[in-house]
Amino acid sequence: MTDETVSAGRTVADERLSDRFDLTRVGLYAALVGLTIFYLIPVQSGFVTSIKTSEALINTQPFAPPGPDGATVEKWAFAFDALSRGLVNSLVFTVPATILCAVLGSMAAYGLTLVDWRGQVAVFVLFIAGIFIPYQSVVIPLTQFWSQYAMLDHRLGLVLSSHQATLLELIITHTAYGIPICTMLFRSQYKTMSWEMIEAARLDGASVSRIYRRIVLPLSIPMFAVVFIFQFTQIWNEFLFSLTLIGSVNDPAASTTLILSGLGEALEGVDYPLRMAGALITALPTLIVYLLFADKFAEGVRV
Amino acid sequence: MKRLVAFLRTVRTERRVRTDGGTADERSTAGRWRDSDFLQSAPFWGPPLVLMGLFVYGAIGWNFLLSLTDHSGFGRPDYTDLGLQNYWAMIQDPSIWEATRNTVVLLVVFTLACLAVGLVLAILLDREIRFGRTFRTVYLLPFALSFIVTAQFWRWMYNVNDGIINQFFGLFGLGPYNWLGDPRLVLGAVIFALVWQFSGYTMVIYLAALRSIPTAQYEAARVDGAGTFRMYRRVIVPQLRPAIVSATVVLVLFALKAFDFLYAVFDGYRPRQGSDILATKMMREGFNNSEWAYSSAIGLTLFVLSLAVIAPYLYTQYKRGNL
Amino acid sequence: MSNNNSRSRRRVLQGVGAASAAGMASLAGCLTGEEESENTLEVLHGWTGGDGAEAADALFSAFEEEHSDVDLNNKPIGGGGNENLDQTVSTRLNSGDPPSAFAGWPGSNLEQYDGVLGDIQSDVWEEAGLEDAHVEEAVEACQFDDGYSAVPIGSHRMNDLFYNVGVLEDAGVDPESLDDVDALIDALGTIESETDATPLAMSLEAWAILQTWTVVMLSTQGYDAYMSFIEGDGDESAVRDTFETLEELLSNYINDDAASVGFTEVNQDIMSGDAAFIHEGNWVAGAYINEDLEYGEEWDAIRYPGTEDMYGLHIDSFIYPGDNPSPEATATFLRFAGGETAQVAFNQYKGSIPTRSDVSTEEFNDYLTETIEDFEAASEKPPTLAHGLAVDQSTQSSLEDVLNNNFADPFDVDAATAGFMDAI
Repeated sequence: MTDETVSAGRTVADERLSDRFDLTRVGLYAALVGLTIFYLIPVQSGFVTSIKTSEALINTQPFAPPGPDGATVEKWAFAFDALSRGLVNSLVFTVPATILCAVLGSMAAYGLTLVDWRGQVAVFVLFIAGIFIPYQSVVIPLTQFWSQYAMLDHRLGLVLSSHQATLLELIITHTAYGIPICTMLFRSQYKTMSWEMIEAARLDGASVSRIYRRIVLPLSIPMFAVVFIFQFTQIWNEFLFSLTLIGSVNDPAASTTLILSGLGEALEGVDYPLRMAGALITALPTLIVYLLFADKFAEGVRV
Repeated sequence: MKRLVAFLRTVRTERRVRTDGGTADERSTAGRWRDSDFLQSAPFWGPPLVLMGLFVYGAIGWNFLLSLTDHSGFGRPDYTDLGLQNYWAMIQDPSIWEATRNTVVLLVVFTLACLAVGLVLAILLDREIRFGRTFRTVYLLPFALSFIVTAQFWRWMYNVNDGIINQFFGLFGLGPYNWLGDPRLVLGAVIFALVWQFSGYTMVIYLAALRSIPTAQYEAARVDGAGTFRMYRRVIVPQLRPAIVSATVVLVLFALKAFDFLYAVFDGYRPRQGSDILATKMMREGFNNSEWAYSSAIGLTLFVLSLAVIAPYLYTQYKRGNL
Repeated sequence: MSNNNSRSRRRVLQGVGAASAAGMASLAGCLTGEEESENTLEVLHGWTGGDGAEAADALFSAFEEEHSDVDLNNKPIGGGGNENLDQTVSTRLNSGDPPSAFAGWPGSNLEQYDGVLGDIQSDVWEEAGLEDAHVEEAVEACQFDDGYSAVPIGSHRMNDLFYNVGVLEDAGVDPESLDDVDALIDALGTIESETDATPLAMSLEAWAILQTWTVVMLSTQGYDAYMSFIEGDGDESAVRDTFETLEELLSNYINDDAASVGFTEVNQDIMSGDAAFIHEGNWVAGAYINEDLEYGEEWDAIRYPGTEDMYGLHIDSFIYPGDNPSPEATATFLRFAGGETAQVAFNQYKGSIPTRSDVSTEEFNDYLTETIEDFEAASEKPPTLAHGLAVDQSTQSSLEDVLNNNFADPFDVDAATAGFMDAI
């Protein structure tokens, strides 16, 4: 399923088309460029606004860059200062949760796909349905569980500060809710895996876990990359758990999305340049991952 | 949402495997593995199932129980006196109906708009063009951003005095409009921003489906003398149906739980009049008003609504052997 | 488990502390010292920006100066108005991990904390003699459950109407001549026709509408009608009249973007001369002073027309959770907070005034000095509806819902009246 083969076949038809209608071709590119402007202008306007002084904000168009007099990095510095704690926290819970989700998802998919037993599909349905549930239907028990029953900051008080305990709660929560999608992703790959190879290993007397370690895991590496990219952006961007489990922007464990949601509010209402700078800083890690692996991201969607 | 992208992928992969033939037969050979396979595989799927199961299904069960109590404020809920009073209260609460109405509008308009805009994008990109990949990357970019981030951009876009949207309308001598402040405009404005964020996603789903249509069918239609528009209508769009179904499920489910964007746009739990949906109402009742049991009842209602979408979908997928 | 252990250990220590009061002075000193080093005084509040932060700094440094032996952990929690603070407090109280004290409104607002507050009648109110020192309304607001659970720290005035002096002069409006809302409406019309400025700067956030609704009701229906309304015995026609008057104000004279801006943003228009009047709690005065605008020359305030002899009462307080992690240190802090030093230190920066009636006005600016004088002279002090004093939190929230859904442009008098009558 590479686009080359398909588009190559279609080129014939398209070229004939384009020979006949050059104007259509011009119109097509005009439309594509117009759409590019539409999709980028909120981000572009956000960027130019983030480097404007308050005078430039009033005197220039929202999409126009400020002149040299009207440019400042002050808002970026302030936003970075406010968000840096959140960036670290987000990274601290996103990375372990992503890795754990991927590993557990791969294990579950293997157990439910490559080892054949009756009732697999029923269990698998439980996993899939878990992808779709609205977090609104679990979030109250979840907060009660962590704050009234688990109380990690008390139980692990000797080992962890309450700030670290909150981050641990987030890691476990994100892992649990990330398992379904990861299982799904890995299962999609495992179903297409060469059955002969596993059968052969099986006949050689390899155990289920040996087959996993020696054959399946190495072949899963590309899918691990896809899962990492997906889950990293997913967990980094997440807000509802941050809002309910962390609870406050000033908590030492506050995530970057949580801090951004109230950035600069206490000062003078909504400071747009500051908000824009904060939004871009928060988006930066996911933007980098997305732009570096855009093909992988889209490939993951397409296959 | 993104998760479903992957799910669709599974679905599609599976279909291909089946049509390629072979796999199904090989699986039944493998089905003759020893009886102990269940036990041998349990250490692999067991722990993830327990962790996920407790947090997902355990929490939903607990949530249901909570919705039967009268828990509010501080302290522990009293589980000895259970009843459906919160559900009765919901039915009698006009703001629930208001939120339901807005949820339905959001769900229908947002889903249709994403499906339509995504189709246009996919058709434009489904051909040999320069920078095709770059265009695709740009259109999908908003989908990689957090709602909290995009909400900041759109607050500025919609700003009454300095926003780009009002400047645009100003060119035609219209406005200024108070997009996020006027109850008649606010829901449309929110939907527009969400379509901006999600249409790249539907585009990618369509592109994948379009590219899996055998070239021969294009040729055949072409030989029959079909024009481009007719070709899309007659040949291509009908083949997109599975992609449309899957994308619809994802979009509808998203619309049911959309909260982040509204929270960030309106700086808190109380969205502007005209844009309060069940998902925001639930969060406000619980985390702002401490009406925990009532909030749980709304949360459970959202779960049931989601189930009404998921269950038939999973069932047909199962029937077609796609699971 | 460990939580229970530490709690029971705390109880033991408290028990020992109590026994010590009976005479085992030396042992007591020893144990109390130990307890305080173990449990620091943790105070949560929402004063993170601008005057609030300065005021909190002044308060806590004054406390540390006087009580250097107490280990203080002052935790500002900002964002989302008080939403973040409230949520943190509620999480902490829910999980049995209360702070030593937290900032919040007293009065009906305390009802939501039923079951988790402690009593400080003897340790704080009686020991520091606060009952006689504070005004009656503040004393009553802090009473809860046959005792006291809060200590007032300061009060904002809710019925001031601020204005830009230059804009009013340009329009030829004399603010002192406005003696009822009709006169105000005429003046707004004059400003509209004579100047480019917005006559009335307004944010249509629900709580802001609610506080303006309150003064309009006080002005047009009087103190008694308002008091009956908040006690659940309101007269429907009085509520309806209030909404009708408010509709006239809001649908004709306010800024176009009122529905999507906060009060800090519209207040900028007063300072820049783009708007004439603003009705807000008197915390907005802090912004004028910070911008070095001169009182009486560039900005000024009148009582909301028709409420000249009233003081719209708002109170900030520190609330005392039961099962307190540091009972002695907390009591020390609360006694201090109710005292003159603390109230002067805090309020002069916060732009509010002490709720004590014996404080010298020396440290306060002209505007606040006048406010303090009015506070003592006012014949009535109607409690604020939008800030927890008049009704409990869930009623206040219902009222805000009604306004948000029916009276935030477009303005539906019938629906809003029905909603208000229903909610209380």
